[in-house]
Amino acid sequence: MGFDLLEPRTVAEAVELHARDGNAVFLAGGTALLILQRQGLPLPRRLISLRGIPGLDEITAGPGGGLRIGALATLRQVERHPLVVRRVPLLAEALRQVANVRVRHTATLGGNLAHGDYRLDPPAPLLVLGAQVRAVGIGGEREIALAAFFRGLFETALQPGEVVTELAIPPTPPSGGTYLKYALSSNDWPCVGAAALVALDDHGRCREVRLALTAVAAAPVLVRGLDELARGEPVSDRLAARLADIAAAQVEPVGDQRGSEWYKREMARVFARRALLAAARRAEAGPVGDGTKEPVA
Amino acid sequence: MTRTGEGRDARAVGRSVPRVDGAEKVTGRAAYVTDCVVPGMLHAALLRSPLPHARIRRIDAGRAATHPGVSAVVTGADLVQMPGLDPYFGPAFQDQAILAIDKVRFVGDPVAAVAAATREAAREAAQLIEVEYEELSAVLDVQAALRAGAPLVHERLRPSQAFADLMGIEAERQTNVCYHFKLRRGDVERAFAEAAHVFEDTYTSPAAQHAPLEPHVTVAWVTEGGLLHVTSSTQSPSYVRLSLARIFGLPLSKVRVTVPYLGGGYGAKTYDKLEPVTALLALRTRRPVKLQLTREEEFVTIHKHAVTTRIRTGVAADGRLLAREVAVYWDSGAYADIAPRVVHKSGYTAAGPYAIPNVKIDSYCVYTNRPPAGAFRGFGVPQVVWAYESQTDAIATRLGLDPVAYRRAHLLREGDLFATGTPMRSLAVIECLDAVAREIEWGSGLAGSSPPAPEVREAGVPRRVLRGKGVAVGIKAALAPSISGATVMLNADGSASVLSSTVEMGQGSDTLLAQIVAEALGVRVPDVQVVHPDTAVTPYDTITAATRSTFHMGNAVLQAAARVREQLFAIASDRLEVDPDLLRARDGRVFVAEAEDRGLTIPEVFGAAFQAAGTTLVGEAVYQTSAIPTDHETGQSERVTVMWFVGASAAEVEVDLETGQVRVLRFATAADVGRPINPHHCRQQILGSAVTSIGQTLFECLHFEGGQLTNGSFLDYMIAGYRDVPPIITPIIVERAHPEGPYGAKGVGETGALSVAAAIGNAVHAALGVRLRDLPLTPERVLQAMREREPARAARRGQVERGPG
Amino acid sequence: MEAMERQIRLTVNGQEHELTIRDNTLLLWLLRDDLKLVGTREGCGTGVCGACTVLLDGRPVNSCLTLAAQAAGHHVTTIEGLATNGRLHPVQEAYIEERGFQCAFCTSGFIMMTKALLDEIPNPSEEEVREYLSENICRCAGYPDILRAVQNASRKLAARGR
Repeated sequence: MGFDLLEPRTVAEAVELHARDGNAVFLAGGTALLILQRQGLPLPRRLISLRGIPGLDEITAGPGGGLRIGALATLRQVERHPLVVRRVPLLAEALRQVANVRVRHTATLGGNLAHGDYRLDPPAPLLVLGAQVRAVGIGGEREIALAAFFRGLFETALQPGEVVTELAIPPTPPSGGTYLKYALSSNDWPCVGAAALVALDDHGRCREVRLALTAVAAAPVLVRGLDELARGEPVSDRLAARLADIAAAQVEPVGDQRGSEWYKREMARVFARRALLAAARRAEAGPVGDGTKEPVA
Repeated sequence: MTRTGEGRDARAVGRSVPRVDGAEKVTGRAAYVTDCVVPGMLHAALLRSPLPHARIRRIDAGRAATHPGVSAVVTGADLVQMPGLDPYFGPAFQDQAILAIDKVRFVGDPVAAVAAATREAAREAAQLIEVEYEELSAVLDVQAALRAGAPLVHERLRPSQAFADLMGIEAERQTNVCYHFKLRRGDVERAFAEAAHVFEDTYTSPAAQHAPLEPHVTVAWVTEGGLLHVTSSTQSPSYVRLSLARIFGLPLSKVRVTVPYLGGGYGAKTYDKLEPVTALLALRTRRPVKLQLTREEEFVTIHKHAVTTRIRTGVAADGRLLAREVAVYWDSGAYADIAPRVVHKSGYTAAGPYAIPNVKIDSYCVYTNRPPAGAFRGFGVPQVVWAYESQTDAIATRLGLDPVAYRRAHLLREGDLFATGTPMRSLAVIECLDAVAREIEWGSGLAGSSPPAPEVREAGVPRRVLRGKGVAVGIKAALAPSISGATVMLNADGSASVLSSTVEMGQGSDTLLAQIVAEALGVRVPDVQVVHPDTAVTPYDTITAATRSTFHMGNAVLQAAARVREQLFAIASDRLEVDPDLLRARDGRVFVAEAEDRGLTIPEVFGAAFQAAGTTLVGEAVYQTSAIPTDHETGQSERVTVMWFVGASAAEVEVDLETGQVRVLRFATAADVGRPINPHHCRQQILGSAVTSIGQTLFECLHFEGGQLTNGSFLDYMIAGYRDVPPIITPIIVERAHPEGPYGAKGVGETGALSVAAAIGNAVHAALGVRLRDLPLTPERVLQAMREREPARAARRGQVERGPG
Repeated sequence: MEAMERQIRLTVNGQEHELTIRDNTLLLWLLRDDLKLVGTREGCGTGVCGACTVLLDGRPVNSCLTLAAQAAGHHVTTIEGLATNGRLHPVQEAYIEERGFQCAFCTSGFIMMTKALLDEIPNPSEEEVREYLSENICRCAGYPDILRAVQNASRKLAARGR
């Protein structure tokens, strides 16, 4: 079925176009939309392409060691960008595991988040990095914490007509991070994805522990209540296992061909624990973040 | 690894000569049916059933017919009104209508077809067709289909007359069993009574899809002279010609089927698929019509049988196999396709290549309201090997015997009788087993279960794993009777052409046939052109499948080339005044064996015979094998086949104790290829089928809900990719020359697929002490089996894992 | 429902084209149907198999998930654009030498991916090859031969000073 492609040159124009046709949909990289179309989901009459808007794909240093990533930056651009590799290697590591190089050259970070698919990898690392989404709508601009962004299955906090324009990643404390993608075959969607960030104090005790899981609920899960247990504790298998139990209690998996509800919950536990331990190991080896040395490759 | 004749010598066979299709294929210029464009061509689309079983009450195609660009809309109701048309087809039973008549039988059954100016117009119009269904209760699996009083998928059946081995088949009346193969040898019940141990298990193997990267595609048109020309992605051009001639009431000469390169087949493209409906649209519109399936449609067109195997074995105290009773249930889906032959041929091997005096086999072909199942690389054998090789391993383990030694002791040897009563010939199964066992260092370190491994850390990620090794063997028989015809033309300049209906689908048949002709006529491989199947000029061939082309077409081409050589030598012997028996052909020359400088170049020989340039010498041959049909009640036959092919696999696996995920660390697979014509291509076939089978063992599986396929796209159907290939994987060529094979060759297309799943399953057992009986070996199944079987140990292990350090 | 039409300029294999396309035309079909460059093939239509890989400004993309309109003004390289003056590209030669293909329906995609990989990483490790080519499906499963072809091509390009 046909559609018309509108190509605004500014964000304001894009938002304005949507105001004129509320059924229109924003198109970033387009990979997800074109797949949905193929799967029989009727696309609206008008697609508003954001690709022609200059400057929306820039990646720049934020204040104090943070980062700003334009929503239209492709996953591959982000993954390979020296600032990303240096400041948030966790994100680069996760993006390397998304789909394939071709998709990553086309799909954008903003589009990925706005899509809201519960099985996507990038939300997990971005959740533990405390990212903020900047969105622009007809009523103006606002910032949404990523932790409040994912609402449910293909449901986000974006209002109709709002466009994601930028992602801000605040400075991270000196820490180690990792993203583990567990899939049943090398090219499959994750059965579980786990991102962890662990910051240690000078005595090697936990200062801060963050963990996010994907594919185990209708939306990505930022696990809560870990610091209460972990702060001041030395890293141990026992601690990791207890934290993983907390994580497993917060997921609400839906059984699918990649695992029953039982199995996915079990794997959430397993990969939460593994990710925490691996992140802690990296934090011990050479933390990354705010004013610290560069990561060990 | 056996290295055969890869040194530098003048021979064309036995060497890994480069592929003759290389330049075409790396430039993207190799033409597939999908690239075929005929002037004035229309595009077709199908409307498919959304229900698994329903009566068609009414179809309204009015809106579709008037949609812009539409030339024709055809439904099942139209078919029955077309004079001279027989709308039913199928290689075993003519049970499939070109478009559903009266009833639909699976979700995806074609109901109507549209031809229009563009793909989009055709697809849009198909969606405008309104169909009113009366839903019928459906049988969605074998169990439901076999229940007394179950709804019938087919009320009537008509056997096809295309193949000798299938002409006599009879369906069980008023049931969904469309074919029941029986084998009875010895007295199974008495033997069970005498057995010291009886093993009884049920194994299952799921539906899987071939997923050739090129989906099914057909282009058809009718010439002014009344010739129906069909170019199609088919592995069986001769059969398709026959089928179309019968459907449309045309002489065979008026149906021309051509096949360019195939983008993979693996059994999916055997027999008639899109050809009847595309030809119908071409005849209706008098325009060329192209029908190409989408990837999603491909998934509901044909698949590998889901199989349940109940296997019971009686064993003497010393380990001798006294009796084996096997019941195999094949979910054939809504249409039989070639399933009865699958059920027969795999059925009679279901007890394995072992010396067992008492055997009882029942193999049931069952209709269900699922998409049709048919031939898939291995033709049902991998499913039964999974059962008998898992159980054979369980027997050895239970008796405390080494699984390799146990198999060696009981495998059939030359001259022994198979379960069918057929004497075994040219059977290197023990050599294959030994080769793979050696390759994975069987007996060193962890032949069986290893002690619990210490926690391993990869990039700081802790994992607790166990490792184990396993082996399995497999046997399959070449299809018999079976026929291949070929024509070889030698040109005056020393180049040659081969006319053959063998389809080049990646296996390297063009190169292989060129090698055989080059060897026989003493010409260069690159100077031999293999003409792709064109039923107007290439002779009948049963099919490109079933590991049969090297043996059958190889023989036909070799004999045809020999007839050319006779003519060549006859001419040369006159000129050289020497007995033709003393002549040889090599390097483009004919010469006297004992005096090589006494000879003529090929152009000189032609010059002696013909007073014109560019002339040809032609040789033809038909190679035909025969078989004695298996007895209807006992399945016995002194000759079920002319060629057995055997292989073995060995795996070393690592199982993650927390996730249940199985990783294959090392894999070896050996195939008895007779003598390799092109060793590298043999290894590619062995390795390729092994990798695909590893995927099917670990994760490939079609998921259905209420008859609806739920993972029918590449986004959700898992296929082995680069990183699923084991870090060490070794294809091994084992050579036991076949006395009737061309240059001693057998075939190798499927051998590597037969025993893979069982080898991996046995390795998992060696690692965990847990035997999995259902494929694929998903991590969840493995984890569950570990916990169910050994709750106490699992709990202990859990505690250990959470302990400090 | 017909989509809007537009005029675009597109450089394909070094040659500039002015084309009239519909907004919903995929780059894959523009190449195959309009420009008759049929070496780029559809395998899955969902960006997974890689058979339709082309280079867009030197970067590999799925032409089945790229709108032709999105490629307007850019440079597209297809398998037909690799050979120069009838001479095969070193990557193509390497695939022949190592037999990195069987049915070859996937081969154009593999070769384009290999070119992109070696442009980016001239001397990739085995792991880098596996990662880069991880989602190109070869259902004949000739992966080890393909790996050798990539390594062979890397050596060839190095020897020719790229």
